[in-house]
Amino acid sequence: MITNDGGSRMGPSRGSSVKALLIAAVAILTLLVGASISGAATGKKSAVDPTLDWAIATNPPSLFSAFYFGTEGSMMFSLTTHHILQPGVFGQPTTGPEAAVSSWKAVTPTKYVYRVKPGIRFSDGTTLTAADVAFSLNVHRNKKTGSKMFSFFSNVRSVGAKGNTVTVLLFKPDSKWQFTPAASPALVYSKADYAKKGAAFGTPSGLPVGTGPYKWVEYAPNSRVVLERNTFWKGVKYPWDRIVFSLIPDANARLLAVQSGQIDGTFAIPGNDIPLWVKAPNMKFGSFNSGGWRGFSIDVEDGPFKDVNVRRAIAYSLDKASITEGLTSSRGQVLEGLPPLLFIRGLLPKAEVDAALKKVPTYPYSVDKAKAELAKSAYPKGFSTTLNVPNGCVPCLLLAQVLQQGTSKIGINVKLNMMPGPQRFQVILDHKPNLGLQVLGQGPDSPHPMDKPDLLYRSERAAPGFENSANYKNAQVDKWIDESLASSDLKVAARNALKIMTVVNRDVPYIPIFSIPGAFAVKPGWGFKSSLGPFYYNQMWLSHLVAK
Amino acid sequence: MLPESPPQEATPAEGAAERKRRRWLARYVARRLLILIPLVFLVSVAAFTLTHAAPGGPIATLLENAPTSPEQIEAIKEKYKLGDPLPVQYWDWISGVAQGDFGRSILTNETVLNEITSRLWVTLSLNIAGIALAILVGVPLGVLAALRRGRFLDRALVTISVFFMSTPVFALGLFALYLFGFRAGLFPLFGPGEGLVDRIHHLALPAIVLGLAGMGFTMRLTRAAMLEQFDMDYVAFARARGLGSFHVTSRYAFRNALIPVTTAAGLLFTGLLTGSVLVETVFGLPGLGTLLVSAVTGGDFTMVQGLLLFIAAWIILVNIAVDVLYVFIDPRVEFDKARG
Amino acid sequence: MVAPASDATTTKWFVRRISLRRVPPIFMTMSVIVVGLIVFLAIFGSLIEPNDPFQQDLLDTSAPPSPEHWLGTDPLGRDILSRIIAGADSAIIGPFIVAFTGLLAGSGFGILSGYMGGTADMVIQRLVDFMFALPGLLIAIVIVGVVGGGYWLAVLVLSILNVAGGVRLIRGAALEQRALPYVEAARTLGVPRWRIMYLHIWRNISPIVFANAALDFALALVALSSLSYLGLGSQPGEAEWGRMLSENQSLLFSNPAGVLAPALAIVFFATSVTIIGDWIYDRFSYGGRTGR
Repeated sequence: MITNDGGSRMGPSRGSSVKALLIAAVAILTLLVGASISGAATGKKSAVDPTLDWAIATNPPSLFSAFYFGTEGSMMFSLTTHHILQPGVFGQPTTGPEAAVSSWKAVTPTKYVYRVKPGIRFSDGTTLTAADVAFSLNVHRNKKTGSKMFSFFSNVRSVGAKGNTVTVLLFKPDSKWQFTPAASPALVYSKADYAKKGAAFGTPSGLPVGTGPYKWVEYAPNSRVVLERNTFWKGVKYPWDRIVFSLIPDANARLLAVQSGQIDGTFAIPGNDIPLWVKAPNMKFGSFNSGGWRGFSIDVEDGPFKDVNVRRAIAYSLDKASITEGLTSSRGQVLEGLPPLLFIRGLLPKAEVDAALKKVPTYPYSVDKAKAELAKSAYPKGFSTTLNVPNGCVPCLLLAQVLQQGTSKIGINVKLNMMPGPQRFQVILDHKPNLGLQVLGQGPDSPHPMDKPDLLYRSERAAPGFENSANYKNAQVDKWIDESLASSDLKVAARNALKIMTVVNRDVPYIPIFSIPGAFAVKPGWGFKSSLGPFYYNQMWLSHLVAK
Repeated sequence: MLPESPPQEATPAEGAAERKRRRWLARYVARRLLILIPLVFLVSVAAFTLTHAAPGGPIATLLENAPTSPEQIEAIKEKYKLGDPLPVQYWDWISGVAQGDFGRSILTNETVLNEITSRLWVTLSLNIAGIALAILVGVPLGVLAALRRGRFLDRALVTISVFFMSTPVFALGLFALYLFGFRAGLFPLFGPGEGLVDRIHHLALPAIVLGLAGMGFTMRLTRAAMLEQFDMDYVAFARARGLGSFHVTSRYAFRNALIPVTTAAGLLFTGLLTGSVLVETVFGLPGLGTLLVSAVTGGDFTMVQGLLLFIAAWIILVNIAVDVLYVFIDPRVEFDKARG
Repeated sequence: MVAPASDATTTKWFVRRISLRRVPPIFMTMSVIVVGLIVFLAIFGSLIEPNDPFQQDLLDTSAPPSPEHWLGTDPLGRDILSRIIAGADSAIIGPFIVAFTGLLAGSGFGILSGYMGGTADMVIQRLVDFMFALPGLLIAIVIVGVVGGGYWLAVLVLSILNVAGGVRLIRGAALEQRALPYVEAARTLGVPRWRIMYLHIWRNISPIVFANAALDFALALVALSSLSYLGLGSQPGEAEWGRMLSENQSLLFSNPAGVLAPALAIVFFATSVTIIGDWIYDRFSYGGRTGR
């Protein structure tokens, strides 16, 4: 088909094609080099800077909290709008200056009344009303919204507004509820604004108005979110006129961005990269207890794992101290049980907690003990199993490999099965096909001591749709959980949590390894006035930030 | 092989044939564009089947890691119509696509079309710059190598082209990132940049990396095609008539050598599109490649479907364009065949 | 979407196009050494690894190069150098399977298509043209990523997608052979068709077949390591060069040697195999000897 008799349309214009192409190539290269030099020259920032440049790692899917349930989202939302109550360092509800209500009261264990502060203005000048506050809760409860925070309201019978009060009725007493108004499900929105923007609410073309010290001015998905002062804000003024949250998904790039001064700071430090960040020069690194935990669940109804000796053998085979040092540079803390003690110690005297902890069984690292436990089981020589690892979760992957190595020493072969994160989560929700071992990492949803026990230990949650991935069932534990939730006294919950820990640790349905360290990196000389707590993202974290 | 003759300029007598040729060309383009429909349909079925055959399914993605309850799962099933039988779901999706509605991303809640269009410029600029580099540098170097056949320069260029062709772009990217981004500090290390100059600055290094791989390919192709032309009798004839070497090279040999290079341009486009997935990952750029990877690893099924359709259309259209271009550069053969 | 020119002339031309002449002999020697070294490491690597490539040391993670760990350690404290050595076998096995499948299927379908002509040729050609225009690696990324299969699924997908190139190439070569006198002579002597196709013709075009297999090998190596780099295909923890790159990438600026060494291994290996493939073609093929 190709003939070589010469093209009939060989015009004279082609005469110097080669030359032209060469010249064009040189021109392009020159342009590129030129651009790189000019760019390098303009990359520096001035010394006095009213703009705060903060790096985030995940692309915000929405600026409406119903569609963005994550610490980075909450961290930005907290600057733009009030929560109903102001969360303290441990997430405890208060009526401080950043709360939308001036007082609250549990009239009965199932009836809560909140009195809305007068004169709080949204960034469009309208005033926050009780109707807005009630709407802000109801919007998540409405199935049609599809809010990711729907389940926070499963015990809520109704939310109503009358005058300047908002009344929340619960189906049954639940002492966890008191914390919800101080967390992400309780960010306040304007009902009129939501009605006006409709489906666009929270998208780049429908930036929500808020009551916080800053307002959204730009939302460029996959790039950045920009905040400027809300002129209707009456509270404390922070030093920055403008806050830019730049999306830098790559952890390496974030590190370099902080070191080079292109970014003032970030909270987005992956747990597994902490060893790198700790050592990095030209910046200040800090860590705190996030209240989260990382570890494993073991399905107590699945094959070899039915045998408690097998579960104990696995627990003994893991060197928690070394793992914590290696994977978190010892910024995390070794966990011997759940819930993390962080949420118990504040509620009870130290002596009481320490005395109770003495009764909690622990499994210090010992290959010999692990082998001895396994010898007592029906699988003295070990067996093979599969561990699902969610894609994209590097700490999960590292922890999974550590488990693989640990258990291989006692003859338990673990094969890692990578799957998309959501699919892996679906396996947990469906409780099939292969629960077996699961690698988990969870942040706290509330500072209530029963936060994790309720989620992970309760018998009725060992069913499709729930997260008791160990299929753990214990009537006594259920009773303690119920009792704690029904009681308004958190001390009861704290004491029960310690009792639960004793029982559960004997049965080993879960093996917590370490607490997930929260971390920040800022410019040299910058820092936070007071230590950040597990719910820093729900607080006005900006008020603690000290800049030079 | 037809007898070789020296090229001639077009004469007015060819006017009628020229019109006929144009009509034929129009029909040809129309015919090829029609193929787009069944092909895209096939791709849509394949994409839909693949994403729905995957274990797990979309519900978990929708829930992310938020605490769950059965009612919530029901609500999501209802909202996204996941209870319907698969053919119905397919119909819902494809009829939406036909009206320009590709659905919403499960991971980001943004419309698929918005996600694609907001990131398109990154991939497009990388590809265009890469192809420009591959052609504007690769072709002249290939010609140069052919002219210096067997000499040192030829060998050196050939070795360079082998190197770039067999080096994975992500490896090349990492080296470039370390050497020119980190050590030399010439280029920024992350992100797409703001404003025109800054963006060019940010995309320059990834584009060069992408272009180098393509450059190896075009260089080698051009060299081989030029050598083939040099051995043709008409070149010898032209030389015998006393035409200068540069004249022969540029006017006759190069023109004809362009034909096979054009034919392979489709491959070059496809290759660069694939390469940009890796380059974007290395440099952390928000383009279609990183979007595809995050959608695939994150189980974002509407996004995967939409992207596959988009990429398929892209590749098919580029191939059609190349075919048409090919007919332009080498007009007579196809036309003769179509007539006969 | 199918390039209009796909007949014998083009294919022949394509053969020439991929061929490369006159790589300096020094590069050829180096290529043989590199390939030999990697094959050696794949077989005897476990004997010379300075450390156990899978042994974690959580108290010595992400360490820079030291006398004990020449290339440092990864985020789980494993010795990077030992892991590179241990990665030699997966750099050979997968690509070998892909190349070998391409060789078998390419020869089988290519010669059949080129020699028999007719409907079989038509069908095979349409199919090949279609597959040739597919972005193989992209498809592998999507399938392996969505289905969640591991290394072997990746090898399978690449093997299938890779066949087209070989078929096209070998068909062209077979077409050329068909017209040669020896085939005519064999036919007149009553030699069965399959014998002509797979003994006579195959033998004559085998340099092309092997050169192409070498090229396939290099391409598969690049494709598999690209998949691994994206976290697809190979299993986590496996000593696989592409995966090591992505797992260690966070150390790029603190331990560049450790991160970039696996990249160098891929680059050297792929380039060397390509050079050797080209050399086979140039040295032994009919077209190569008589051509330019």
